[in-house]
Amino acid sequence: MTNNKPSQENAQTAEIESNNRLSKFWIVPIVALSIGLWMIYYQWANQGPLIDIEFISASGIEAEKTKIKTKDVEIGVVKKVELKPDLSGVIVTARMKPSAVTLLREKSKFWLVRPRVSLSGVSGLSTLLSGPYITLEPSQEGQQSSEFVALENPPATAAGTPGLQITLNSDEEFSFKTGDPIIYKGLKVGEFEDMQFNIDKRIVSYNAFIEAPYHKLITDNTKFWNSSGISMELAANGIEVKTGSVETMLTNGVTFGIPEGMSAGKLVTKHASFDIYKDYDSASNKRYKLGVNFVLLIKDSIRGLSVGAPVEYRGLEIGKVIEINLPGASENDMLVDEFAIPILISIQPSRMQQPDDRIGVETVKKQTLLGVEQGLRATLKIGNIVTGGLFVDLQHYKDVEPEPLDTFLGYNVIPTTSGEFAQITQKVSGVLDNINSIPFAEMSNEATQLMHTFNVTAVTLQDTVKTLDALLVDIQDQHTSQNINKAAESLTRLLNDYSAGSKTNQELITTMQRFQATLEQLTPLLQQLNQKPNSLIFNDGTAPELEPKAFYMNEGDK
Amino acid sequence: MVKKLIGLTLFTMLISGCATDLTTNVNYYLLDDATTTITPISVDQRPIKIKIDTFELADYLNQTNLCMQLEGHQIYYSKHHFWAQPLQSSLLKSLLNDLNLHSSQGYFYTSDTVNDEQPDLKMGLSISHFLPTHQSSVVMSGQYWFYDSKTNNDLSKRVFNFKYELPLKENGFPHSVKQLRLLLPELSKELVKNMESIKN
Repeated sequence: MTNNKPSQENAQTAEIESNNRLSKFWIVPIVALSIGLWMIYYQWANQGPLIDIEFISASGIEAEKTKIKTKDVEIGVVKKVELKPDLSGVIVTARMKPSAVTLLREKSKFWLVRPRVSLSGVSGLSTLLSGPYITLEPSQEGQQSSEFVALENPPATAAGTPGLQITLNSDEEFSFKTGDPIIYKGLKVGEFEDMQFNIDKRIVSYNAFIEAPYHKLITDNTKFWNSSGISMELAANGIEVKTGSVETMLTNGVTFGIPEGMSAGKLVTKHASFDIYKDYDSASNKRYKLGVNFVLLIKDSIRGLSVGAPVEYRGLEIGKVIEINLPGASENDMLVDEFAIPILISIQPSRMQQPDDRIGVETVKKQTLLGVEQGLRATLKIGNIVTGGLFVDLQHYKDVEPEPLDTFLGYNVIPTTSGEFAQITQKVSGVLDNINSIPFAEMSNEATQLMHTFNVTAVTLQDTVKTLDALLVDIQDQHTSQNINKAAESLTRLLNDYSAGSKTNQELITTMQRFQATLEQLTPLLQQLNQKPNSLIFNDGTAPELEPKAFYMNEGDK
Repeated sequence: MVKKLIGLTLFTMLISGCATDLTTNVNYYLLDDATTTITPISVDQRPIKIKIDTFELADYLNQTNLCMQLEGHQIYYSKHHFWAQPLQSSLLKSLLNDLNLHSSQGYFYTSDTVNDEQPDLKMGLSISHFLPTHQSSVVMSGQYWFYDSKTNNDLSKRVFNFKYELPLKENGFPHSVKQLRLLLPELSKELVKNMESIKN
C-alpha cells in the first residue's frame, strides 16, 4: 500500500470532455435512410388512384395479374377482388397509373375482355393466351369518379365512332338482341346496341347505332322494318317471298328506307326515335295518315276478308278494311236471314292524289258520295284463289238501281252488289255453256286426219334424214381418207428426205465431215497454242514455209 | 520533253513488234483449171454404165491445207496454201470427167449425178497418196476394184493397185497442183482399159 502513495500523488487527474460531435460514420446510414424515405414518398406521391369496379362475377379476374387496358395500353392492375356484402356481385379494386386519372369519368365504361363466340362474330381470341383483361372505354362526360359498374358485355359501338345514335321501338312479336345488324340495300350500316322494355307502353325500345357515312341516310321520313329471316306472304295478289342479307336470314335484322312516293325529308342529326314495322308495306302504309270511313253492309260470306285487306277502285288501292262486323250492330239480328255484316273501310285521300288533311278528307267524302249516286258499288272479290283472300272492290255499275244515301252508326254507307262467288258461278256457267257448244267430235276427226298426215310426213322426213346422214358420213369418210392419204404421202416424202442416200442425208453427212475436217485442221493450231500461247501474235520461231522444189534444181544442187 | 519523245519512240517500237506481217499471202487452189477443162458430151447414151459406188480418200488428205511429203515419213501442211474445195469431191469430179473423156463405151457416174439403181458395173476407188514429195515429184497411189451391180461379186477376182508419179519442173505449190491434176488422166486411161476388158 505504501508503495502506492507516491504513484497516487504523482498521477494526474484525467480531464473528461463531453464529446457532442456526431461521428462521421453516421452519415452513411442517414443518407441511406433519406433515400429510402424519399423513395417511399415518391412512390406514394406518384401512384395512381385506387378505383372500385363492380362486376357480376369475378370469372377470370385475379389480383395482381389482371390488367386494365385502354386501346391495348396498360393503365392499371387489379389489386383486390372482394364479394359485395349482399352477394349481388364482386368489387374489383384496381390501382390505376397516374396518367390514367383523366380517363376516370362517370361515363367511362369498363368490361371484361374474354373470348366470345356469337352469331355476330368471334372476339377476344387473343385472351386465350394472355388471359382476360379489363378494358376501359374513356369518356369525357361526367365528373371524376372512382367507382364504376362494369358492363356485362362489350358495347357494340366503340365510343367516338362517327355516326348516329337512334332508338327503334317495336310492338311486334319479333325481337332483336345486341349485335343484330341494320341493313341498307344489303350492306350492314349499323347494329343494335341494347334493349329496354317499356312496361307502361308494352313496347320494346332498342338503342341502335348507324355508322358514318350511312347516318346521312336517316331522315325524318325514314321508315324501319323487319327483315329477319325469310318472309313468305300469301297475299291477295299471290305468294311473295322476301329475304334480307345472308346475315339477317340467320339472325335478326332491320332495314330502312324512304317509302316510294315520299319526299326525302330533313336529315336527322340528333338522337331520334323510330318505329320498326313488320314489313315494307306496313312501313309504307304508315305515310297515309288520314282516311274517310265508310261502311259496307255485306250480305254474302265474308270468309277470307281480313282487317287491313285492300280497298281498290278499278285495281287502284285507295284504302283498307278497318274493322269487320262493327260492334253496335243489332246483335239479336245476326242470325236473321238477310242480315248484312257491317264492314268498316277507310279510303285514304293521299292514295287518291288528294292532300293528306281535312280538305282532302272532305273532297274524298264528297266524291265518294257523288259516285254512289252515279252507281258506285262495293263488292268483295277474291284476290288470291289459293288463299281465298278477299278484297273490297269499288266500281261504277251502269245498270244498278239507284239507292238512297244511308248511314250506319254515323258512317256513310256504300251500297254493295252480289259477291264474287255469285259472279264466279255465273261465269263458270257461261264457260261451261261455251265448252258444250264446242264440236268436239268434228274436231276429233280432223285431228285424227291431221295426225295421220303428220305420221306420213314424219316417215318421209325420217327417210330423208337417213339418206342425208348416210351422205354426210360418206362425204366425211372420203374426206378423212383423203386427209390420211395426204398425211401419209407427206410423211413418206419427209422420211425419204432423211433416209440413207437421200440428198438431205448426204448434206448432213457432208456437213458433219466438213465439221470434222475443220476440227482436224484446228488440231495443229491448238497444239501450237498449247506449246506457245503467244504464237498467234509473236513469231513462233519455227522453220520458214516449205514448198515443193523443182526436179532440175535438185539436179543442179547436186 | 526529250524523255517523252524517247518513251513514245519505245512504245511505238514495242507496238510495231506485234504488227502482222502484211507480206504473208494465203492462196487457194482448184484441182480443175476452168479454162482448160474439156467436158465430154452425150455420155449418158453409152452402152455400159459404171457407177462409182465407193470413193475413199486417205484421212490425212482430207484437209483444206495443201500438204507435202517430207523425209522420215513426215507430212508438212502449208499455212498459206489451201484447197478451195474439199479435195474428196473435187478429185472425184475431175476423175469422173477424165474417165468419161477417155472412155468411148462407158458412162461413169455416181449416185450424186444419176439415180440409177441398176448400172452394168459398180466400182470402188481408194486414194492413198495424192501429194508432192521432197523428191521433187508428185505421187498418186491407191486401189480400185469392179463388182457386179446385182450380186456385188468382185468381177476381176483381184484389186487393182496403181501408182503414178510425175516430176516437178517448177518450185512451189501452184506447179505441184498442176502436176497432180495431170496424174488423173493416167489413172483414167488404165481404169477405162481394165473396165472394157472386164466387160468384154
